Amino acid sequence: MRYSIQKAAVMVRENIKIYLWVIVELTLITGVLVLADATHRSADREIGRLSEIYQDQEIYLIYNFLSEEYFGAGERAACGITLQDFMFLRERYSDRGAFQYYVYDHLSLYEDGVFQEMYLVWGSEEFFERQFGKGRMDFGSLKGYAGPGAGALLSGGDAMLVASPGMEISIGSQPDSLLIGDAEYRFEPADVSGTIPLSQANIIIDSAWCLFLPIEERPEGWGQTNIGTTLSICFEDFREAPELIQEMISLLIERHEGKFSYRHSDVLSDYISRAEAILNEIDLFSFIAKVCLCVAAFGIAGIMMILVRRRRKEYAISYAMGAHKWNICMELLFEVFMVCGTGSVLGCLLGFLLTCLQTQSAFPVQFSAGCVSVPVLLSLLIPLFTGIVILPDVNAVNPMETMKCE
Amino acid sequence: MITLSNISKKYQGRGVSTAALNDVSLRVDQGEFVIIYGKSGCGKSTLLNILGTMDKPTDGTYHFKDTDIGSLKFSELSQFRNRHIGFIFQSFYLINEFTALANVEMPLGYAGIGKGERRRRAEELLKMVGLENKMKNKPSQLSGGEQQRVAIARSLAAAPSLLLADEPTGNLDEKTTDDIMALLKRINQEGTTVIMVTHNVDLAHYADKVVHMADGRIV
Ligand SMILES: Nc1ncnc2c1ncn2[C@@H]1O[C@H](COP(=O)(O)OP(=O)(O)OP(=O)(O)O)[C@@H](O)[C@H]1O
Ligand SMILES: [Mg+2]
Repeated sequence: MRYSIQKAAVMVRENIKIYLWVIVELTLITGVLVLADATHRSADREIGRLSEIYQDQEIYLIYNFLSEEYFGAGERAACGITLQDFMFLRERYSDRGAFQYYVYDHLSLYEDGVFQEMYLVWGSEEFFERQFGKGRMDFGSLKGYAGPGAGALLSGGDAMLVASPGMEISIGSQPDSLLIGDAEYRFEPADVSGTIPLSQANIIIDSAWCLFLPIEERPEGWGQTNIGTTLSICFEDFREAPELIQEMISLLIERHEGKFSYRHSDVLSDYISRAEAILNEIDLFSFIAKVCLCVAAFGIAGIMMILVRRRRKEYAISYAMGAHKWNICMELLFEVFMVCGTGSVLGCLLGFLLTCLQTQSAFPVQFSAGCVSVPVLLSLLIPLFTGIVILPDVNAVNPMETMKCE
Repeated sequence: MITLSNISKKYQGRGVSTAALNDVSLRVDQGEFVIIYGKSGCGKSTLLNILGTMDKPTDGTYHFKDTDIGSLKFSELSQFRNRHIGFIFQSFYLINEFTALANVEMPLGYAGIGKGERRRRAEELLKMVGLENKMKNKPSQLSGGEQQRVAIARSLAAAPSLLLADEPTGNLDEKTTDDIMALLKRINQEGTTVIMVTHNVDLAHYADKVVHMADGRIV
């Protein structure tokens, strides 16, 4: 056994010119395979990481729906869906958690001055609880929340009010009145929970909670009639998102009998679709590399077959020197093994280098020990395959006849 | 040591069958130097190959000491050759990829002898055949006579009791032939039985016993 290994090593060294090409071929293919594998694993890991982060959490899919029917096309840079649309979607996706909220335009409700920095928000009780639960306040008929960045949040029943930070708010002379700055306001819940005088429509809110969110920095493009709608929906797997959004859009189109146009941006689903596109590319890539490896396996088997035929004399001599058939077979297998092993070890190194050097992808590509498992497995399979192909040839060597022919 | 009884060898071709050996019986004693000579095609190599267990007779029995060679399997024959028989061929049959040293080491390798011991013995043998300066040379870097000396060293590596040489001097000039013959004679005098095939009758004087063959028979 030991002698067979040593002999195989000499044979590899002596035939290095032939084997060099095989090694180079295997190195390149294996390198590509390792890179593909590392990229694939990293992409999977990245998607897994995102999935974990967003697992069972609501994702705020911030959609700027533009409904021509309600806002007039082109007239205003209005965005948002109507409260009716919002309620419709909320109802439709109630099984995904009731934590959507809806922001009204503040200026359509209040006069200049005191409430300028406030927004009226419709949201579910759970939503407020979660957002401001810790800062809950109770003033008799007034319920309120205070939260970081929210200043104060007060409600007299079904509606709520949030003042912006820095704004002084205190309970007024009546339990349902508020002192905001110097002015005292009587806060009539009915004012809010009744008809909201939106410029476009009269909307009735029933038993809903309303919230004025302070907007410290006004996002660009937000104007007087801007209405931001945030639907937060719970996912098991965040890859559902694009499909779900498509579904919501179809529902809205259907609801408005086709008169609904929209544009939206969704960073997350963009990211996912990009990651998945990369993943597909990688799969194709690694499929091609695997095909190349199979082709290489045939090539190697062919080369070995030629070598075996060329070496019949050597085998005959070996038999005369007392070699067993299995000696010869072992020597050959070791030889292929060394060549393929060298190729795949170098390929793993190359793959490692490529992995470190490549900076193209959208996510960090990391090399891990698992990436080399396929190449290592293949480096075991190629010699076995070669063995199966050439051993009949070795077995067929008839020492006597071979000696005579040479 | 060797008893061949009524050995025949027929080659079955397409339609034609050639009788290479016909009822050959031969006894060779331990320590003898036997030369088999005869015309080309008379069956010398066939006989030698049967003696070397590389070929099987169609008929007859071959006893080596107490072993009936006919009853051995392929793998047992490998082991038998490794232990008892050294081969020298007319065209040397060295492995081109190996150095002289590695060629001589080969039978020792198959005998399972470790690297150090193998090297030591191979060096000793190459020294014995006068090639201590060319141990690292490959066959292509050696002259014919030198190659044959490597082959002789190799055939002796596993300390065989029987050395078979098929026209070991066929490819060599007169002077080198004498050198090789002297070497074989010396090996024989150290106790190894030598059976050599040649068509050169002039070499007969080296032998203890000369076997003349014609048409597959001993005459
Ligand atoms: N494999 C074979 N198939 C058929 N016939 C064979 C085979 N090998 C040898 N022969 C025949 O057997 C006979 C003896 O051959 P062998 O090689 O023993 O001759 P030889 O005495 O060694 O001749 P030379 O001196 O030329 O080497 C020859 O007639 C040859 O044609
Ligand atoms: Mg011959």
